[in-house]
Amino acid sequence: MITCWLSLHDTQADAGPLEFVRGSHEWPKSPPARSQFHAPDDWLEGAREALPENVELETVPVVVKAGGGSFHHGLTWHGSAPNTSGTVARMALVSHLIPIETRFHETNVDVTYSRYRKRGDLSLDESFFPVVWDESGYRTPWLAELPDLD
Amino acid sequence: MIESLTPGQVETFQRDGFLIVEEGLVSDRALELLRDRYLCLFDGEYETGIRPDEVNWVPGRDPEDRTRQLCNAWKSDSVVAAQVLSERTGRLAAQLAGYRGVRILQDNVLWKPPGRRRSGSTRTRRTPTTSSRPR
Repeated sequence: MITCWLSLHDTQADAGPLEFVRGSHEWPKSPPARSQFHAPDDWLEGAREALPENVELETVPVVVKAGGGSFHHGLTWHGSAPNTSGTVARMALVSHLIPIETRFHETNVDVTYSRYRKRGDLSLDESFFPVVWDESGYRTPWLAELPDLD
Repeated sequence: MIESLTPGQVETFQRDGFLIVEEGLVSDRALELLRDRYLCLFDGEYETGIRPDEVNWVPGRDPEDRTRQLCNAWKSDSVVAAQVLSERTGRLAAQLAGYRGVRILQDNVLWKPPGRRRSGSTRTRRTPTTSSRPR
C-alpha cells in the first residue's frame, strides 16, 4: 500500500505537521494492532518500541505549501505533534492506494471493510474500491462522472 | 501541476520510505473547493446523502480540541471523490510503488484546528482482509 497525503494549507513546523521516521519501512514488522488515532503524549512511542538496535531514530516533518504533500510506504512510521501555532489550521486529504490485483483474504475479517466483501467472492468491487489508474489505460468507468478539478 | 516524478524522487521514496513534494499536487481551484466542502462535511452535510464510513468528530458531541477525521468521505461528496480518485494521484503513486495499477482502499479527511491535540504515531493500518501479490 502507498499513501498520498495532500495539504490544503501551507504547513509549518509548529502547526503539528505530519512527520515520518526515515527508513522505518525497512524495520522488522511490529505486531498487528489498530493504532489509537488520538494518541498519548509521546506520539513516537510506538516507533521507539519498534526501533531496531544500532539504528538512530530520525524524524522528518512535511513542511509544504498548500497543494503540496507527501507519499509514503505502508510500513513507514508516521504521526504528528500538537498544532501549537494558535492560528494555523491544518486540513489534509489522504488517499490510501493498493495494487490493482488486491483481493480479500480468505479468512481474515476487518470490522469495517468486510462489509464490502461479496459472499463467495474475494474480488474487490469497483463500486467501493475503484481502479483510479492502470498502465493499460483502464480506469473504473463511473469515475468519468466526477467533476474536473483542474 | 506535477504529472510525473523524476528517477531521483523514486529513489528517495525507496530509500527513505516517503517522498515530500513541496507543491503542485493539486490545483488552486481544487484547494478552494475542498476547503469549502470540508466545512459542510464536518457539519454533517453530505452531498450524496451517504455518511462516510467513519465519522470521528461530531460538532456538539466531541471536544473542540480534537483533530477531526472522516474516513471514505469520497462516498459522500463529489469534490472529495474527484481528488481522492484522481488519475494523476494514482499514476504518481503507482510510479513510486512500482505497481502496474492502483485502486482506492480508503480516504481520510483531516482537520487539525490550531492548538489541538496530536494524532497518533502509526504504521498505516494494514487491512487484514486484503492480500496482494507484489509485482
